[in-house]
Amino acid sequence: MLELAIDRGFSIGPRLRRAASFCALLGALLTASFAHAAEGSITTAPDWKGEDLDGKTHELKTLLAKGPVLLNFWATWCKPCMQELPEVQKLWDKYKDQGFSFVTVAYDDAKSVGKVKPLAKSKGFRFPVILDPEHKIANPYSVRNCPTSFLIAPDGKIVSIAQGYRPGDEKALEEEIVKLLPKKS
Amino acid sequence: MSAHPSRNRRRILNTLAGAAGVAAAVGLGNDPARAEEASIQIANQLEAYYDSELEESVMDDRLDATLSYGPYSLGTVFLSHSPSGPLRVDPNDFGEKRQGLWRRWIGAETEGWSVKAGHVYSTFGRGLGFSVFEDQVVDFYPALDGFLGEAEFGIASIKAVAGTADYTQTVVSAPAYVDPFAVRAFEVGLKLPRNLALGLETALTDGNGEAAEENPVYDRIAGGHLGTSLGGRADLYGEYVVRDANYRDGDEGPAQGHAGYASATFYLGRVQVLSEFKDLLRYDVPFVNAPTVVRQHTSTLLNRGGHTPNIQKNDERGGLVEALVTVNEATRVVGSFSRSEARHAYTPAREVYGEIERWLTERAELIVRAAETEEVVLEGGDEIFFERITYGGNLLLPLDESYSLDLGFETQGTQEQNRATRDFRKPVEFRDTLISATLSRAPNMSFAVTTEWTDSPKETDDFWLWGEWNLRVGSRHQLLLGGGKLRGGQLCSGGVCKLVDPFEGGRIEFLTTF
Repeated sequence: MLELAIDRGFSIGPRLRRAASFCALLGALLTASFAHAAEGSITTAPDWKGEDLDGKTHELKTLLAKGPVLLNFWATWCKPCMQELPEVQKLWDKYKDQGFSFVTVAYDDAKSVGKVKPLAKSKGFRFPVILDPEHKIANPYSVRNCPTSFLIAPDGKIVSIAQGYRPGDEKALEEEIVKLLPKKS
Repeated sequence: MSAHPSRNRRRILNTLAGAAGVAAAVGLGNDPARAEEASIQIANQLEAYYDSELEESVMDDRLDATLSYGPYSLGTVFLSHSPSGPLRVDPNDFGEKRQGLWRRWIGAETEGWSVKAGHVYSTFGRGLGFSVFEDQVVDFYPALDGFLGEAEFGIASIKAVAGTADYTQTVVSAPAYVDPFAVRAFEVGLKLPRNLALGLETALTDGNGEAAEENPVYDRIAGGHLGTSLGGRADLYGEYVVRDANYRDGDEGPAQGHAGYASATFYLGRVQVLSEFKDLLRYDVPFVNAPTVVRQHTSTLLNRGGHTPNIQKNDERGGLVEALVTVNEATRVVGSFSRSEARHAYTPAREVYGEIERWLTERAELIVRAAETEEVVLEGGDEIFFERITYGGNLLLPLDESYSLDLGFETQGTQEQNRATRDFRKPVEFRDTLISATLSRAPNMSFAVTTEWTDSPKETDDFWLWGEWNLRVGSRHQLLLGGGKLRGGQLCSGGVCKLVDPFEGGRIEFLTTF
C-alpha cells in the first residue's frame, strides 16, 4: 500500500521511502513468523554417534530408547552457554534416572578443541561432552549459533529448538521434558 | 610438478570416480538399520540492514536444506544477497549482488565409511597441514569444491580430500595465493596402544588459473601429529609440518617453511593447566588455520584489541599458559599468560589475563576480569608499540523467576607510541569504555542496550549507542530488531579476523529452523 502511495506522487523522500520499505519487511516477517509458529512443524532428528571426553561412545538412537534427549551445542567462547549449562545439568541430575539424557556437543573447531576438557572439568560439568571440531553432528542440525538446544522425543521427532539462553529458560524446558518422560507403569 | 588446469580437473574427476567405486564396493545403502530413516532439516536466516547515513540497504537470505534418506544425504545452501547500492552496506561481506545456489553436496555414510562430493570441509589434526572450514561470525566461507572420503579399518583411518577453490573471492583477509588452486590432501591415522594416536598428513596444491600456464606454481605440505592421554591426569599433543613452495606472498619466490604446535594439559584436581606452544616460519598458507596460541576473548574491547589480527604467519613463535582454578563450588579463577615473538623482526606481543567468577546466590553471578596487553606492530616500516590495560566485568541478576538483568562493563586504556620516530616521548593515550545492559524475560524476549565512548584522537565519532530487541517466536523462530549506531572495528573468531565497518541505521534478523 505504501509503495502504491509513493507511486501516486506523494512527496516522500528516498530516505523515508527506504525506511518505510524496511518497516514493511518487518511487518511481513512478524506476520509470517506468528502464522508459522501457530502451525508448528515436526521433523526427525538426524542420527549421530560420538565419543565423549572420557572416550565413552554415545549414539542418539540408543539414548532415545531410554527416553527424551536434550542435545545442546555450546562452545568454550560462548558466554550464555556458560550460564545455561549448569542450569540444565540440574535438570539432568533430577530426571536422568527417569530416562532423560542430556548430551552436549562442543562446537569448538580443531584449533580450540584442546580447551574444552579443562574448561568442562573446571566448571564441574558431569554430562557427556562430545567433540565435534568438523561440525559433523552440528551441520545436519543446521546449527547457526551457540547455544542451540534440540529437545528430541523418544520417537526421534524434534519437539523444540531453543537458540540462545535467557536465565529462567530452564523452567519452560523442564515442563517440556516432563511431558516426554516415559510413563511409569 | 606441472599444474595445467585440465590435468588438475582430470585428476579430481578421477578421484571422484574412484570415490564412487569405493562407495559401491563397500555397499553403501545396504545398512538395514538406517535404510528407512528419512529427515529434512531446513534453516533460514534472513538479515536486512538499512544504513541511515549512506541511505542504502541490503537484504541477505541464506537457506540451508539437508535431506537425509538412510545412508544418503543431499545438502544445499541458497543465498540471496541484494544490496541496494554499490557495496557500501555489506555487513556479511558477500560482495556483488548474487542469487541462487551457493553451496551443494551429496554424500553417503555407513559404518566406518563416508564419501561426500560437492562443497566439502575438512581439518587434519589441529589444522596445521590442512583446514577448510566456515565461520559465520567473521563471514569466513572458503569451501572446497571437490570430494571428501573417510574410512576406518580397525585401528587405522584414512581421510582424502581433493578439490578446487578460488580463494581470491572467498577469503576476507588477503591470502597468499592470487589464483584459483587445486588441492589434494590425505591423512592416515593410527590408534596405538597406551592411548597414542598418530596421524600422518600431506596437502599438495597446484595453481589452476590462467597465470599457472605461464608460471606453474605449487605448494607442498607434509607432516604428522601425535597425541596421548595419560590416565586422566594429562593430555599431550604435538604436530609438525614442513612446507616446500615456489609461491609465496605474490612473487617473492620459493619458500621452505614449517609450522609446529604442541600442547600439554594437566588435570590436577581443582586446578587445570593448559599450555600451548607454536612455531610458524614462512607459513602463510590459505588452506591452513593453525591454533593462535592467544586467548580468544568474548568481551568486545579485549577481542578487538588482542594480538590475533597481528599474528605473523611467516615468522612467529610463542606460547600460552592458562590455569583454571576451582576455589570452591561458588568461585572459579582463571589466569592466563601468552607471549610471542618473531625471529627476523622486532614484534613481541604478550598478554596477561585474570578472571574471577563468583556465584553470589544460586542464580546471581559476578565475573570480573583484567588484562594487560603489550605488542609491537610494524606499520609502514615503523615500529608501533601498543599497551592496553583493560578492566571489566559482568553481573547477572535474576529479578524474579522470569526476568533477569545482565550488566556489562569494560574499559580499556591504550598507550600508543611510534618507536621509529621517537614519538615515544609523546605517546597517544586514550580510553575506550563500553557499558551494556540486557533485560531478559524467559523464555521469549530480551532487550539489550550497548553504549560505547572514546576519547581517541583517531576517531571521528566519540559516542555510539545500539539497542536490540530479541524475540523467540514459537520454538523454531527468532526475530532480532536492532537500531542505532555501531562503532565497528576488529572482530576475531577461531583465529580468523575481520574488520567490521561502522554502521548507523536499522537491522532485522529472522532465523527459522523448520
